[in-house]
Amino acid sequence: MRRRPLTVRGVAALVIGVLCMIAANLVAAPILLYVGVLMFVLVGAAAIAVHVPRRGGSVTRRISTDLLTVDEDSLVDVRFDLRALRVPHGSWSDRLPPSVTGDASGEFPTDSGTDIRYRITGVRRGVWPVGPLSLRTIDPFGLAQREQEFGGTRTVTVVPEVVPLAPLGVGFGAAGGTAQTSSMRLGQGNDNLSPRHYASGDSMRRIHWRATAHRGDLMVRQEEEESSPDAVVVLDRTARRWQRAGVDADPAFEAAVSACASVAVHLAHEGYSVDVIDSAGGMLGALRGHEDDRDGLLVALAMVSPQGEGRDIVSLLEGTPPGPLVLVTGRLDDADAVHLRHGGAAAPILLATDPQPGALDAAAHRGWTSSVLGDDVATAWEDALPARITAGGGHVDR
Amino acid sequence: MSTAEIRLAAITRTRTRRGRAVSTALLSAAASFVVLWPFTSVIAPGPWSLLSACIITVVITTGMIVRLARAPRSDRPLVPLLVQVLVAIGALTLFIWPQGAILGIIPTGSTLEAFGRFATQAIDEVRYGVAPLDDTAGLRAMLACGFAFLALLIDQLVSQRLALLTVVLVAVMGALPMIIALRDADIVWFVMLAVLTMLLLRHSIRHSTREPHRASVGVAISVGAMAIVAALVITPVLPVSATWIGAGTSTRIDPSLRLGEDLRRPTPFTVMTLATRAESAPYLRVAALSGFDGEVWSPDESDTQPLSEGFGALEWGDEIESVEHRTSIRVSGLSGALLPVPYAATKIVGLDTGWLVTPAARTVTTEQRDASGQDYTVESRSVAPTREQIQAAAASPAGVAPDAGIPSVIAETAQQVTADAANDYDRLTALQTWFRSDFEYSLDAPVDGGFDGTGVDAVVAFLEERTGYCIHFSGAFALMAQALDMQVRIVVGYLPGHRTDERRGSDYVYTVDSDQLHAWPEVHFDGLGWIPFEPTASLGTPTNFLPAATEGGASSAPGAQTPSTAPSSAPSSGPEQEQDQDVSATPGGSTLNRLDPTPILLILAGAVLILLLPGAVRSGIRAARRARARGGDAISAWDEVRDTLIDLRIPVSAADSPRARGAQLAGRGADAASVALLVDAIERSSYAQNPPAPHDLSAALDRVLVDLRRPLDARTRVAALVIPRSLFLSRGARAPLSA
Repeated sequence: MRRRPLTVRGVAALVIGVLCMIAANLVAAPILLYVGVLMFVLVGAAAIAVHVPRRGGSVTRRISTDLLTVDEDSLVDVRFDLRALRVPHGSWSDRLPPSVTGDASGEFPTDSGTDIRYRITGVRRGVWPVGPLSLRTIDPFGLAQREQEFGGTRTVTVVPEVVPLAPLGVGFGAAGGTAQTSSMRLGQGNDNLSPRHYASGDSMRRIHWRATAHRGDLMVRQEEEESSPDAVVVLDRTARRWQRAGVDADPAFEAAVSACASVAVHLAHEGYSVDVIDSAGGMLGALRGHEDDRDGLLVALAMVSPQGEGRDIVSLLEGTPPGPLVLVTGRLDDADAVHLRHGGAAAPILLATDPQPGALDAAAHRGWTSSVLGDDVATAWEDALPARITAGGGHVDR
Repeated sequence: MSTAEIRLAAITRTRTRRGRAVSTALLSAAASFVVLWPFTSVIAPGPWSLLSACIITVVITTGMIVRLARAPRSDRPLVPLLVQVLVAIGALTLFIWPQGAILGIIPTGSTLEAFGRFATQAIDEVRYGVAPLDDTAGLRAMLACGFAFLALLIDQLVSQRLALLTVVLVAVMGALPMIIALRDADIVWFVMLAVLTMLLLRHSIRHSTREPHRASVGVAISVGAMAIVAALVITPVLPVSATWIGAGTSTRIDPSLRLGEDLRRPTPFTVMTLATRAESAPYLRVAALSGFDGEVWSPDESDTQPLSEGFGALEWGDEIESVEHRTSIRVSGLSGALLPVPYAATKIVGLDTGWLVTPAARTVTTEQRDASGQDYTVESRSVAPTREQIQAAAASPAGVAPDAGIPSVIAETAQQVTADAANDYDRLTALQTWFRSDFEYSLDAPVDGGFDGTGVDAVVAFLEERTGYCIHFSGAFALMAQALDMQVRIVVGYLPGHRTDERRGSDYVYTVDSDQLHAWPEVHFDGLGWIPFEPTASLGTPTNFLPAATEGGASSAPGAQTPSTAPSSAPSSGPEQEQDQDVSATPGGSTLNRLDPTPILLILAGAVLILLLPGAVRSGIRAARRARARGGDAISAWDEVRDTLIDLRIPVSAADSPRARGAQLAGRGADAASVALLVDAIERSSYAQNPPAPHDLSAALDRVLVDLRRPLDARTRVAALVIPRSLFLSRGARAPLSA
């Protein structure tokens, strides 16, 4: 038990009891003896009343949002099955990790009996446990207390914030050679695809039965050329580019992670097939147009932290130069910038949180369009965009 | 938050503040009156109690009104406090000394002066007075001021929810009269205090913002009641209340004649125990006072010598008969440098070195030791002349000429009383008889009359009032004997104690209490030594030596024991002495401190009773339900079945229909026919349009209950009997029980 069995008041009552006992003998006053004994017995009875009842219980938590974005609110429903002879009066509190804030405490039993509901707000990226639920009861006179923990914990994942960004506007990727078009139909229902007449060689599985019934001829689903252009987002997590990891989160790195997530999701929306890798070549996530991809990426990003050494970017690209290449990095000095290669990417964009003087110019010489990444990811992104046409790589019409 | 919400919150806040203001005022008033109560026992009834109650009410009502008025705005304590102080000052001025105050309520310089006068007057009264104090203007004023301050303080403490501090304040202030007057604990008051304690603690938690403020009323009442009862049962048997305080309190005799405070102690305690073979215990002396300066008697300043050198020769010749005694004394409640001994001590066994003897007075003193805890045996020899012998002897002339400062009324009265007597002894017995017959004993009269002293003026007043206590009797006797030109002194010591039922060997055991402190005069006779007299009315035995004609030349005098025991005690002195030493060498002999087992038995019985209480209550409920079931009440029968299931820790769900539970019961081995009868009855009484004719269900109920218990082990059955769980279950909380 973390808390002492008596409250401050209970301890004070005991001290008063002892003092009364001493005083009773000093001044020969039996009445003080009575007061002293009353204090002792009262504390004892209170402690018995609080500590003797046996209680057990199970706790299940339901959080309305599986992945909690930083600054996003969510509702936690706690179902508390208390097994006890009688429902005790007290106060409950749920232990919240530092990644979320919220008023996770209150009176017990609540207005709705033993069901508890409270609101949390994500403040910091990460995967953290919520709970266990602790129930603190005191006796009616506030002398003894008891704190009991019930149930286990449930993890809550706070993922980086994804901010809407300005559109790239033009598809890049022809330079890669494999991207013919970016499908604008991603996410649209199959019914909207235009059917065409059956031609020999078409797979039976492609027959569009409804259209066939409609037209009276065999129709097959229109096969779109859906090869998406590749985009690569690199999160530079090289340890030396970031501040030493302390207890608190490094705001620059948080901004970088948020930018990384936003850019990746944004590019995926624009139709690119996005690979998100870190500077050591580790795959953080790949957005191929499925819903789960996005969540996987965000969960992976929820847990990244600066570590290790980076590798040269070109070596990460596995040969084929991508369309847009976005590098999110931290402290960047001249020497690093000079050696920054983009491997022939169509639109190399550099977002650095802490570029040293001259570094961005040096990067521009190597073909990067760049901007300083502050707290506002969207602005940084827009800053980086206009430069792409003049200083950027190839510009290919669709 | 919208404005409507804000307004709603403000209204709620105001409402809670208002409620708190009222409850604070009620609690503060209760606490103040709990403090007031014990003062009624030490101050004579009079307007003071009404005045104090008025002041308390005014102060607390003011606080409540101000808090109610300010509730919508704030609950800060400063404004109510200021208003309360102002109102209290005004009310005090108005009630006590409105003369000279502006409008009767605004105090001026003259008011302050009056209050200063009252204060000195009250202090004097408290210092020199004896409980119960008279309700004088000064005391009344100071009490009113005190209670105004106290009510103010309590009100603030309660409103700040400092419950424990309030309790301490109330307890200490309320206990003050009991402490000062050395009274026993007032149980009724203690119960009031205890209940107040619970209310204060609960109030502060209820209005706390940090603690969970709801609580079950049942738990609160049971915890509080348990604590009060336990405190009432435990405290009286704590060693402190009787013996510890007895030992912890000890008196210290001032070797001058100021015995009033000691004698007026309200609770006498045992000062010493003594064992002697004689039928009556001897007077014990601690000091002899022979010098008198007109105001105060002072002790002898004669030489002392170590105890080992003995007490010196006896003052009477062999022709005078004397009686030998042996007395074992154990001092328990007396400290100081003076040791009580009988007169005339010849030998003391059992004391270590460091004790000194004053041979002239035959008293024992010390400079390094303490009388407390000493245990010793005194051999003494008291003179027992025949009446003829003492009548023949002349009192020694007073060494000093009667001072001019002594009023002639004393000598005249002495002459008048002793006019018929022919010799010194007859004169003295005439005086003694006069004092014992014409005077009254009173501890308080001299205080009230203002002559509580030993000076000449006090003696004159005493002779007029004809009432007083031992110092007045002995002082007056001594001065009158001195006026008759006899050498006198006053002895301070203890009256013979009370004989107890105990025996130590063949000795009787006596206890001497603190209020048996005494003073008596002695007159020196040539050839006989100091002869004690007992002028104090209603106390002790008057000195009366019998004529020689009667057997043995008997005497009866303070310090002398009836001689009839002398022949039997004389022959066997050798072995007896060893026995006495043995006894005196074992301090704390088992005979004196017998353990009384009654309290422990009572506690045990109480504990057993408390333990059996839940079972008894449950049995009562069962009997009542059974009686109703006999009358056909199916619901009672069904409730009993359910509670028995709960008692036996058999899972039971409130959601079960009677039929489902009936099936469960049958599954547990209950008699199917009885179960069917019960289920049928409960269903009929619940759902039937026309209630069926009631018939006796108790047999079926009994059968089912017995069947339910049978398969269970003994432990569960006993637990169900002693700690019935169904009793401790709150209504509506039955569902979680299936665990």
